[in-house]
Amino acid sequence: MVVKKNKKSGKIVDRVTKIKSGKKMPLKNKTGKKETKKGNKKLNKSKKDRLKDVLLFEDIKRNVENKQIQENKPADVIEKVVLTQDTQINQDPILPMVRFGSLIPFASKRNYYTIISFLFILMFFVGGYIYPATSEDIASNYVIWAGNEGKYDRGLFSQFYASIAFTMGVFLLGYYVNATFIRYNIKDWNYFSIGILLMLFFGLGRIGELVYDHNIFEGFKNIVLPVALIVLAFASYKIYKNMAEAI
Amino acid sequence: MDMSTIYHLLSLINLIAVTLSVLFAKKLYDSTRGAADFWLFLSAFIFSLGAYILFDFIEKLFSVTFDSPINAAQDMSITFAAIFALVSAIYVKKMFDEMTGE
Repeated sequence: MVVKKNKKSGKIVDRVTKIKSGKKMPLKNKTGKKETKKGNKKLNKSKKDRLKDVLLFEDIKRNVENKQIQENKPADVIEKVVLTQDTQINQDPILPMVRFGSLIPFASKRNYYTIISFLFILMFFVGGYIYPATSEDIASNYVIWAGNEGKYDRGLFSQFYASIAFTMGVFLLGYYVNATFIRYNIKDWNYFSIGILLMLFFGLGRIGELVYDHNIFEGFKNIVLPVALIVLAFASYKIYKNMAEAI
Repeated sequence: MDMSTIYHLLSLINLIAVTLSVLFAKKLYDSTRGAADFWLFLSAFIFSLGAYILFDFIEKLFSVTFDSPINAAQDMSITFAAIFALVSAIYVKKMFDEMTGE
């Protein structure tokens, strides 16, 4: 809110204070001589002006006090506040948004999730080149692209596509949790976000065990899953506790 | 320690952790019933994970006997988890849009 000081009212206030101090426009002539008609008229005018000024001053004072009561802000604040365009747009938001600035482009706190996810997906692809499916995996029909004498294993296909769907769904959930709860800095949702990120790792591990080295990716998946579930359990406990306290 | 023993132990830890998650997810849903669809789908996502872990535990416990149906059930539960995760992602955005008045 911008409060503009009216030039007229400012002048009037100055005038009234000068009058009050008694420096200008004395009430009586010091010599005690009789006043002429002109002088009387002037005196009458100045009296009228002073009365008007005092009334105006009282009006302004009342208006400021009324504003103060309405907005519950001290008068000094109303006069001193000069708001920028930015703050004018976000006046009294329902939820205070937290802007996490960073020197690295796109690396605000809510984007860490996306960056870590993409880095991990990249590592997953690189891992596929370093640890491809072994001949043992192909012989045991653990990978979908080969084995079973060239016939596709439909069960493995459904597992493969279910894992892709799960990974994508979990990624989106994590992204939106970060874009909402983490962005607005809501307590204890960080744990939930970490849990979701670990579930994404689990989903990638599930895909990896079907296309790359089965033992390595299965081992990774089996280690990540309990950690993810423990973090999710802890997060849901904390969130519930906060909500119960709030209610 | 043998790898299969470690995997059995891990699946037991999974089951305990997911039971706790489901318990608190249910409590969350009960305390926010009717407030927003997000809580419903978030708890459904956690329940689906619970189902997946339960089938995994059963598979590890009885090994080869019911391999195919258990695997199919696991696939189904994880597909449901994916759907619920997607829907709750949509609803969380919607909920915050309504709250902030955007």
